[in-house]
Amino acid sequence: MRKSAANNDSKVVLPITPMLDMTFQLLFFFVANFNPADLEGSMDLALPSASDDKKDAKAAKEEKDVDKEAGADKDPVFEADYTIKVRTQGGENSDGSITDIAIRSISGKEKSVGADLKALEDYLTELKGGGKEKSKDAIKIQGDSRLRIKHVMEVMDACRKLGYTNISFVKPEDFATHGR
Amino acid sequence: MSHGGGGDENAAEPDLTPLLDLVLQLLMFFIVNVNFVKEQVSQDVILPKSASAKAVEKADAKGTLFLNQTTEGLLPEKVRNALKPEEKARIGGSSSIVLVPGKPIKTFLEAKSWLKDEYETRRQLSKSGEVETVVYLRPHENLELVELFKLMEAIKSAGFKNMKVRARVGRGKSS
Repeated sequence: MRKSAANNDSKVVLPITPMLDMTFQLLFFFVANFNPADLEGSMDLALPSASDDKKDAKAAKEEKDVDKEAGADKDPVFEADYTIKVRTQGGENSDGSITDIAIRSISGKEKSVGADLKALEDYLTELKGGGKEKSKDAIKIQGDSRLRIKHVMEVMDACRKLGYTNISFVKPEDFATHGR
Repeated sequence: MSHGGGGDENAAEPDLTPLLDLVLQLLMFFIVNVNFVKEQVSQDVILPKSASAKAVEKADAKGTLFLNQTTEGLLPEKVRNALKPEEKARIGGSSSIVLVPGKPIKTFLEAKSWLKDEYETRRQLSKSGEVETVVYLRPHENLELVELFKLMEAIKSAGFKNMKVRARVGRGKSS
């Protein structure tokens, strides 16, 4: 009887304190190193074919030569309802912001809507709603060489908001002067 | 006497188990979310913001190539000050620079020739002789469009066929 009473007294106690200490240290380490980055997304990109920028004939010829050398596949050709030309001021002091947006339709008609993205959205809505031209939901964006990438993305977002899911980029008109 | 003895036996011991549970849960959260090596991306490049960028699936490290494109002027001041003088002189005249973590900073022309070598290496390592690598471009939001197109051309002439551009997911204007 005496012996069994003694056994009941000596319960096995799990030492939690050192485990808690270690856990706190680990926790502190991870808290100190926690650095959540912005969520990143990606967009498919294809280099426009030479036929997309016929104006830059010299560049197209060079590109063709490079393709021959590398044995590259033929470039995809994008057909689009409209080409949006995003312009910025030229010169060395250019801050790369949008100074004008012009929309050229498949029929060759071009209209400038100024530098306002809202005006672009309104005009595209009007075009889409009018149903004058059969929509492929495809659009091309051609920015000036000195335009900042963030502004290209803004134009792209505006187009996508209106249901243009197939957006491609065209080489800048002034690529021959700035890109070589 | 007996009272004193009883007091010792009933010493107040805090119950640590719920605290331990909570701490372990917090620990679990941080372990799961910590990401020491963020693929091959450079945190020195501020990406443009885009609402239309699709969330990124976990990339296969062998089948991807990350090119962080910026200019010397767009690098954070801390990074610029940490550059060695010879490195500064080397990249100084370049229209854009390409950061591939784990490798020295490359000027555009260096990146162009490195891409050709990289493609050749990957082609030789590939069993089928086809290079399925996806090239992820991470341009700085204030980079000029022409620089992105130049790099795209360089990637294409090196032989890579799949390109994607990365952006921060979110609405609103970039910073």
